[in-house]
Amino acid sequence: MSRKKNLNYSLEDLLNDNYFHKWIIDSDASCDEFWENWMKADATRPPMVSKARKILLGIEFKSDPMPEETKARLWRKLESKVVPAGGVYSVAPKSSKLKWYYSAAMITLVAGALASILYFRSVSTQKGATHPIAYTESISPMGQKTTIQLADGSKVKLNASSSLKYPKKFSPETREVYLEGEAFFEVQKNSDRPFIVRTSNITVSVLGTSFNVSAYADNKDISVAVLTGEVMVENTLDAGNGQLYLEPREMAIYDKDKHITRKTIFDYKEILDWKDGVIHLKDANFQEIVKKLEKWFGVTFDVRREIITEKDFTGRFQNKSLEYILQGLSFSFDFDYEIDGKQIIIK
Amino acid sequence: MKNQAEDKLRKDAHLFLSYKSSDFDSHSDEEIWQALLKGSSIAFKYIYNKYADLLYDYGKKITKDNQLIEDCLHDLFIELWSRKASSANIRNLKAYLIISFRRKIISAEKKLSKYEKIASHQKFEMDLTDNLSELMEKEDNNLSALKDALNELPQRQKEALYLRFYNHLSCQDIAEIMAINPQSVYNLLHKALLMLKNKFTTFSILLGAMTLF
Repeated sequence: MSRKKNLNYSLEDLLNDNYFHKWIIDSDASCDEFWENWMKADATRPPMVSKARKILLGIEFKSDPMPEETKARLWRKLESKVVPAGGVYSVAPKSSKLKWYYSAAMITLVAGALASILYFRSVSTQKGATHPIAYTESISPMGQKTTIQLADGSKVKLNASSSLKYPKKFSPETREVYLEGEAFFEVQKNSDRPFIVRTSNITVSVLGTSFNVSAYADNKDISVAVLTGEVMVENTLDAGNGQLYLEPREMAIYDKDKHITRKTIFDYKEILDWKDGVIHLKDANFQEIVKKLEKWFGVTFDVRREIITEKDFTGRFQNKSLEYILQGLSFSFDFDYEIDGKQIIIK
Repeated sequence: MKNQAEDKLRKDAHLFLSYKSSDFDSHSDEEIWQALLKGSSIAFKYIYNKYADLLYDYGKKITKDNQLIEDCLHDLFIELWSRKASSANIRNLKAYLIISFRRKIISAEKKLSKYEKIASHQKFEMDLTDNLSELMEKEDNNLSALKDALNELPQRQKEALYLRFYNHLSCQDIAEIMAINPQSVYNLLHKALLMLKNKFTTFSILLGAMTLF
């Protein structure tokens, strides 16, 4: 903007100057040079600018803040009309990445159905008299995965060595399930009835989303990773405190020793590969690999010599046999192996 | 050239679809708007979180009816979502939201006033900050007099001041919101500031004279 430096302004002129407003009200740095030069030209100008600045910035409006409760309530109302059941996205994007995810989900479903026909077994247990809700327990033994359809239409894919306890019919207030091990949840949307996953240390509450919970008793951490929607994670022992809200791509990791939960961004493949039949190893040492393969294939390893793991192993195995994977590993780690039924001997 | 730009926007929008809303912090309103056009409900949530408070505050300045404000906010955002395709070209998201919101409130109030008389109340109530108090040397009488004078400004002058000073909108945007021409906005602001300056000068002279004795 071309302007005259010797502009002979009074206080009133300053107060009415649009370009002066831009400098003072909008703190536009591109005006700095002009007004600083303008002030330098005459000794009466700096006090005048200071006065004008005080007047302009001195006017303030009484604020009427929106109550938090109103803002949240209105959002829930909007969300129920805008966001469709079971996910965040109302328009299915033509992104190849998501397409891949949908087809992978279909394959998972088919595989899961087969698995449940072959391996599904359920045990009924009764809970205390205060909640006369009949619970069912589904168990995925070592080497097997199970897909469960819950009464509300939600789907759960249970990883190997895991169990899920759930009611045949949910209570009118909440939908509560108990998890040991790892599972991927696709929760049917119902804003009035939160879906709650309880594990040994943490509780996960959602309204309708998809997410993964890994809570194996022999792991140091419990993790919750969100694929769609929003999830709240809280410490079971410390309910009401330290709630953590997760959005897609975020993961909460609870440290069982330190009793702290931290939030991080997760890698889709690393966390969710399992549900698509892929063994994902990332910077894993030999002990971790053995533990993973034992669960995945339902075998036990007999390691008869020390395996040096200077280099941590990274790799993905999609629908590969144990023998195929062992061949690959034996080459990397330089060992011999023998398969004896459900026992693997490392020599 | 045009296709290239569209492709880029489409790509960006797809990125947005899978991002968490805090990732929008580094994006302009224009980019967020483009993501919304592509159906990102995260962008929608972001816009709600960013502008609901501002709109509510403005609503409280032009009507006393809390329910009306909530209803209009609700309708505004539902429309924003469902009509997003037809309002593809907006210049300034903030101004666009305020314009639509103001129209909704005014037409809803008109409908209501057919049946009942709406009690007028002190709208656009203004306060003075410490800056101005300092200038006034903490003369309580003068301060409250100035505050009263500010509050007695005509409604339209106050609305123009509010939009310019409180919401940092340009005179062009304010003209659109208030459905008047930009020159009228300048005039409204000018009148309000002139009053303020005159009051201020009178008080200063008074104060200056007092300190002489």
